[in-house]
Amino acid sequence: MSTRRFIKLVALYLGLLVVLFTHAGNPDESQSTSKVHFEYQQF
Amino acid sequence: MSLPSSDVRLTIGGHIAAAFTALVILWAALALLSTLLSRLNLAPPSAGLYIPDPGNGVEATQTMIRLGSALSDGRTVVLLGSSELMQTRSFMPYRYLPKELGIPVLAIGRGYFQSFAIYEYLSANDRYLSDSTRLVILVSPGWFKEDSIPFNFFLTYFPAPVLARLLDKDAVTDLMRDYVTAHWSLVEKSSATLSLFGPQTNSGAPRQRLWAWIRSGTRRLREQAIGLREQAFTLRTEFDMLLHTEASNSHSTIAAINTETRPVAPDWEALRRVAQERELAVMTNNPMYVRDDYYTRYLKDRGRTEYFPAGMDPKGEMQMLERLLRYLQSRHVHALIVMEPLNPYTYLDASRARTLGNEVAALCASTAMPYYDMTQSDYVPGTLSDAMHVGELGWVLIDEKIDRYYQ
Repeated sequence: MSTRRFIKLVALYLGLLVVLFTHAGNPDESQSTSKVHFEYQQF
Repeated sequence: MSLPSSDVRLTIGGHIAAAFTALVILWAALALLSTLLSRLNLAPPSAGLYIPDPGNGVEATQTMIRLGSALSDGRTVVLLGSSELMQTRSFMPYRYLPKELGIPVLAIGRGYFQSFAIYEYLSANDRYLSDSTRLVILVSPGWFKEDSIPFNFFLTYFPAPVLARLLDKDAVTDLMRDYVTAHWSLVEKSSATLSLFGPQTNSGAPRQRLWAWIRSGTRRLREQAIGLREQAFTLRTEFDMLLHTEASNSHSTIAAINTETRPVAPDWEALRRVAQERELAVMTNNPMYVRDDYYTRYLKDRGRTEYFPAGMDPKGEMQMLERLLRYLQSRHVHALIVMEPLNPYTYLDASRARTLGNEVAALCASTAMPYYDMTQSDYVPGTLSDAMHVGELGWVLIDEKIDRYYQ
């Protein structure tokens, strides 16, 4: 593979990665939930 | 760029090498940008800001950006504590210090935000800690009542964007993994990031070991992917906060900074008097020196009681606090540690807070942390506004310590 082709391919992958990272939104917005809920005691 | 299909018709090895190179370039660019942004300090916290918990999604990412920025800017006092921060008192540091003394304050925490959570939050911002960090930690006697933070509070303080920052920090990751694994039976629904801290299947038969090895490999890959994506999202959020300060900011300022020159040194004695009068003026229907509404709601039919449960063992929390302080010492941070009192007019065993205060004093002495112990002097009514939460007088005392220490 020529260097020129390789650079083009790197640019292509880089572009794809940038699009992926900038449009992926927040990495993980899913909320974890607990089976039990403990209330804070004011007294 | 024209990239005809003939150009892409390459060997599989070529594709892998190109993809890997692109990934390395992106990783290096992110690291470089991240370092530059942290040095430029693009998102300094507003003058007086209080964030009870990080929220989730973009809000959590913003919280961590604000915390990192405040820890590194050398001006902002970062105030970490628990339920006392939720009150609305005029002398609270994040109201009084910015407004009257021109000192920016970022406060984070509510109930159960104690040694464990504080240690993890600071570790997640490890690179922002230095000897110029201005940090105040408010320790409450209530921290020592429970063995560990209740799981639903843990989930509130550790949404995915916060957890993602802890994935590559071995010591804290192990601590987090131990906690999550011990509480895994309480999980109703797990985010992808939380499950990375969940229990791991251990070896058994050779075939199971192979599966465990494969799972461990994929887990590592997921950790890397989640860490990298959060890093990229953080950069994007930092730019958003820089370009659209108000629109993209999910936290609102509580007190505006006093931009004028610092007023003459406050008359702390006069302020203490004013604060006590203000507090006592709303403690009129009871002999316990608590606010009237609190008395009616919690104490009227109860009277004085014990606060600490029988058989309480403060060792776990004390060890966690020691770990936190030793960590700060290793990062050259001189945090002001404040030990809050209990109301002796409400609790029969309030003096036990003094014993705890002595233990915290020993920890502070061994880690060279400045310490303000409010349990050691005779209790002055108005210091707390109820049984355990700091009142106007107590806040003035704390403001004075912060001002003198960081002047």
